[in-house]
Amino acid sequence: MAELVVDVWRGAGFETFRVPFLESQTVLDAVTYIQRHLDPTLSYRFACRVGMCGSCAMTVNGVPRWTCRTHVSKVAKNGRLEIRPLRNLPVIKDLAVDMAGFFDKWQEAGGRFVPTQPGAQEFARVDPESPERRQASAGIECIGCGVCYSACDVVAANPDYLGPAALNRAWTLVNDARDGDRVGHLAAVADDAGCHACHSQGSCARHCPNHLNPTGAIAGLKRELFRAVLKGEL
Amino acid sequence: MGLEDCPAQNPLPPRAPAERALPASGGSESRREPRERVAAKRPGEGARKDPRTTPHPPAALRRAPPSPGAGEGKRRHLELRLFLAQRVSAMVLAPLVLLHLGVILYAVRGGLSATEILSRTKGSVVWGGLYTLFVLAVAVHGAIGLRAVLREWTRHPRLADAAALLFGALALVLGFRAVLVLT
Repeated sequence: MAELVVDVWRGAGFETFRVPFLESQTVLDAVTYIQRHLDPTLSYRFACRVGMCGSCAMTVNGVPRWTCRTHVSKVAKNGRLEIRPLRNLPVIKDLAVDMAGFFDKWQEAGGRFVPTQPGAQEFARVDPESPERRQASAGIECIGCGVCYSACDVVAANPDYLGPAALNRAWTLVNDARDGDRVGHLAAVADDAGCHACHSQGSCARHCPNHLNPTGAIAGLKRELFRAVLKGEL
Repeated sequence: MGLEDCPAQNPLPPRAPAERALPASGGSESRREPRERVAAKRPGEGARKDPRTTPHPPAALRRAPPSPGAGEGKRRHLELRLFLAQRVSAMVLAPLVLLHLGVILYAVRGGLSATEILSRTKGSVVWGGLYTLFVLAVAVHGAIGLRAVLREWTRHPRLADAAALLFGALALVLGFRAVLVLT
């Protein structure tokens, strides 16, 4: 049986494991094999195994990915895998990172829906084809896996930067017809660590497993902020 | 399937009256792995403070204190306003730079002497006005851009501010001196 050599980050360095290579095996399968059969002390995180929960993201051969949706055969180089925790986040142990700072930034970016009609009994009627709704719908599928945050070089250089996911969230709210604080959402991302820190390198869009485009969302925020200032709203 | 539910301590020994102890009534609830609830972990404790190394260069994963004056009083949304000033000055510069390059090419290829050039620019409101605008836009655009680069590279916001102001002042002085000589 073919063998896969897997270098896994263990805090002080890499530990190498040999895992049987299987047809259609995912990277998560390989990590799970190590934990079940080779070293039960290995810490990592997963839940759904089908790309819905966003908890199994790791850096595989230098690229942030959902390990559950990544086939080993696609990413292994000469039968080798190098698995690290996500970048730009504090490591708790082995492959598990602390996502708290990542989600704190969603709050800082004003990522909270502000209802216009609290307690309304009727559904809001929103035209799904309106330009605003299309923008919001394009970004709404984020599951908060942190892959974009890990891929972002601006986050790496500036730990204050809110990051692609939080700004993408802000952009969906700015375009949400039901939201009552458009200007507040814009103001929240207008400062030092907000959307203007983005270099438009596009790593977030390149690596987003859901094929979202946070770079585009951030560009949209810059544009709307420009308009808001011209209109005197900020 | 799933996590190998270790059957070790199956029925949770009745815990001391902790705040979140549930009355063991809920059907599905009570069947759940007890360890999870015991370990109801609070984010922001323990491991988070641990400055353990990571394989990447996370130099400062701790967040820096907010830069002085950010988002308060008059300096509210300063970054935003500077960004806008840079965008607008860029729009002004784009045609002016092309014009400037065109003038240089024209003057060089046509073999115009300094005297000939001066004879055309002296007293010209158009050339004087265009180059005044050019100097203003350069000072604004260059200073803000330099400030942004320095802020990111040095992490010393005050140094960046000072350097940007110095650059802007220098560009204005040198630029206007040239405009005065030409017109």
